[in-house]
Amino acid sequence: MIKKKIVMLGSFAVGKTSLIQRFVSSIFSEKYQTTIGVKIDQKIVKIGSTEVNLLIWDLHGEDDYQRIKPAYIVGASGCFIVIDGTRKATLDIGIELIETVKKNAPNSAILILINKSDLKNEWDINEDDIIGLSKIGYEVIETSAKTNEAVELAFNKITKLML
Amino acid sequence: MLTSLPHNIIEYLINELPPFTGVLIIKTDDKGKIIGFHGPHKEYLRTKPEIGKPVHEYVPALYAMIPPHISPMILNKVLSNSAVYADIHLVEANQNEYWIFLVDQNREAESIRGIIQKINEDKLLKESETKIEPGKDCNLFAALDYLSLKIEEDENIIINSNIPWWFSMLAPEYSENDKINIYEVFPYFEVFNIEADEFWAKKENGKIKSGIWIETLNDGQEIALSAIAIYLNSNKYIFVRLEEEIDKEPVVLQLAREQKLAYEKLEKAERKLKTLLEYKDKFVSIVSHDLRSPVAAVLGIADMLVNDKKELSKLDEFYIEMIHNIKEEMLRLLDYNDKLYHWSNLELGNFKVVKEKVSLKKIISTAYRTAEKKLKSKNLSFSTNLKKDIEIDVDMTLFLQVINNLLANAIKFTPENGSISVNVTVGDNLQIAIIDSGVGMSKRVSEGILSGFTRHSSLGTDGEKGTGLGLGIVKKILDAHGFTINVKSEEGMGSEFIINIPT
Repeated sequence: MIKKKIVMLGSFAVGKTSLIQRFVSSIFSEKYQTTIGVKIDQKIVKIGSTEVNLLIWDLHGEDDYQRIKPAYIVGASGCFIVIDGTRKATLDIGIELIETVKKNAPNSAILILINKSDLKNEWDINEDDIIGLSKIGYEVIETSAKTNEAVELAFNKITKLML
Repeated sequence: MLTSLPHNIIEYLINELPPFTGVLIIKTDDKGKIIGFHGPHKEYLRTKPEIGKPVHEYVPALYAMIPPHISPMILNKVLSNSAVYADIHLVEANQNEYWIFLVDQNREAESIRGIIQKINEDKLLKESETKIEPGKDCNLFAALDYLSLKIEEDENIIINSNIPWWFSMLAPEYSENDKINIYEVFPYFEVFNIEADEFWAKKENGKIKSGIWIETLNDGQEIALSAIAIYLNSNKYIFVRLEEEIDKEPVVLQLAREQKLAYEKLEKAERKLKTLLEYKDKFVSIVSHDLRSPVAAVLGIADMLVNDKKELSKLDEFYIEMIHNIKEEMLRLLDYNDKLYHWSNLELGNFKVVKEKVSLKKIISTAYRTAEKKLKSKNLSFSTNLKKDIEIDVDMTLFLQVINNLLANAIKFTPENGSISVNVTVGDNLQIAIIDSGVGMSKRVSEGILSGFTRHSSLGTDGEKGTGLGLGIVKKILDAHGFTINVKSEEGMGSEFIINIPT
């Protein structure tokens, strides 16, 4: 079976762990629990007749307290850049992290997830920002770990891009 | 000294006074046999001491210590025969008697336990040089919950004699001496191995530590692990260990991030609020501006009717009074509307203070002329102590409005035959005080009176309705000038509004 490494990157509290929990275990918790270190989950995804074992690396959020080790990204076939739609600052961090991915895993597929679509009326990120991201060549998917909106879609899409 | 103290005094010292509280005192002879004891023995010893028995049976650390080589002798942070770390002081009272003091040091011992643990771990690694062999006993590492692996030609062999509990729950299919693919069990090693390979390639004895990663055991429990890669006499090892300290770290990090999130939310709410306030001010500004024309038109008509004596003569008294009321109310509405318009523009910052040297005398006399009609209608006296003119650096139009508003306010709240004065004092600051002999106000009212929208707006002495905006405008204009204003007032004793102008 093909194995592929996917890395979840983004600022703190954007919902990386929640997205993985929703995708892998179909659970969601409102409570914010900061991630320490690295957690690797696995899930087998079927694309057509091909089964792919996804190794999903949940890295701690990037902020002043914790910096992501570039070594964690090495060998990744796909990277999710997760942004919190309600916090504009997480977009800037997301864009910085794209550069880190380009340096350390230049062949990795990149998908941008704007999470918390269930709170869309509170979003700070607007259509222009999303168009801006698309213009620089990245596909943007609006997700919600809470309502499960587009979570499966995002993982399937990145798997297809990796194959 | 203690030996000469009566027993009840010693007892009091030990039980009640802070430096001695909780101390266990044991007295022995020169053979270490217990003669007597006092203090909370249960805290330090597993069993109650018996007279005549050797003290080392209760405190093993004192074996062969009595008589001591020196007196006093202090043994620091000794784990006594229970879970208590104690400092043990051994003091010779005379050749046949020795006093032992056990002082609880648990808190301090706990705080340094982590450091000691680290030092001991490093010592263990150094000592492991001859001990670590595949399949051989290595109980020390097992005791520390280490999974110890020796790396041989890309094969990873478990070398523990005892598999740590967490590994049995993570990968139960493996046992001692099994060859394992470490990347299968710990995908995290794909990263750490890059660093470890670089380190091993140097072929220098030493170690490097990995980051922390989380694994889920077969019962769903999550554990934090870290690894140490070791190079020792041409051998490569990896120790994987349980990070028990991890529980403390998230608490701090979690709190810091929760605080940051709360701060971000607050900032967002503040931005939203500012935008809403701006909308409100713009709305008020537009509405009050657009209302001015129709209000002025109605006022014009009312004025025309009031002055049309021919037409008025055809009406009875009731309707004449009604027309007068319409005019009065429209005047009030226009005044309120103008203030609202002015206020909203001040809030929006739609004004600029253009300072120039202006005669204070001129400002006061202009304001007096504006207020003259109202002053006379209430028979109020007006005075000022300003004899010699002073030039002040103000925006003439705006500052005149300040004095106009303060005078209008004073007139409103001063009953007939009262007095109003404008007193000027030159000192560290130039002070202009508008003083009235009016009804005054309570402390509660005076505290919020300059905010613009006071809830405690009251009727004037002639029943004039107030908006509270006039004084709010005063404050805004003075703030823009860099001046301050104070209010002194007491109910029934009049009011004093003092403008402070830095000189």
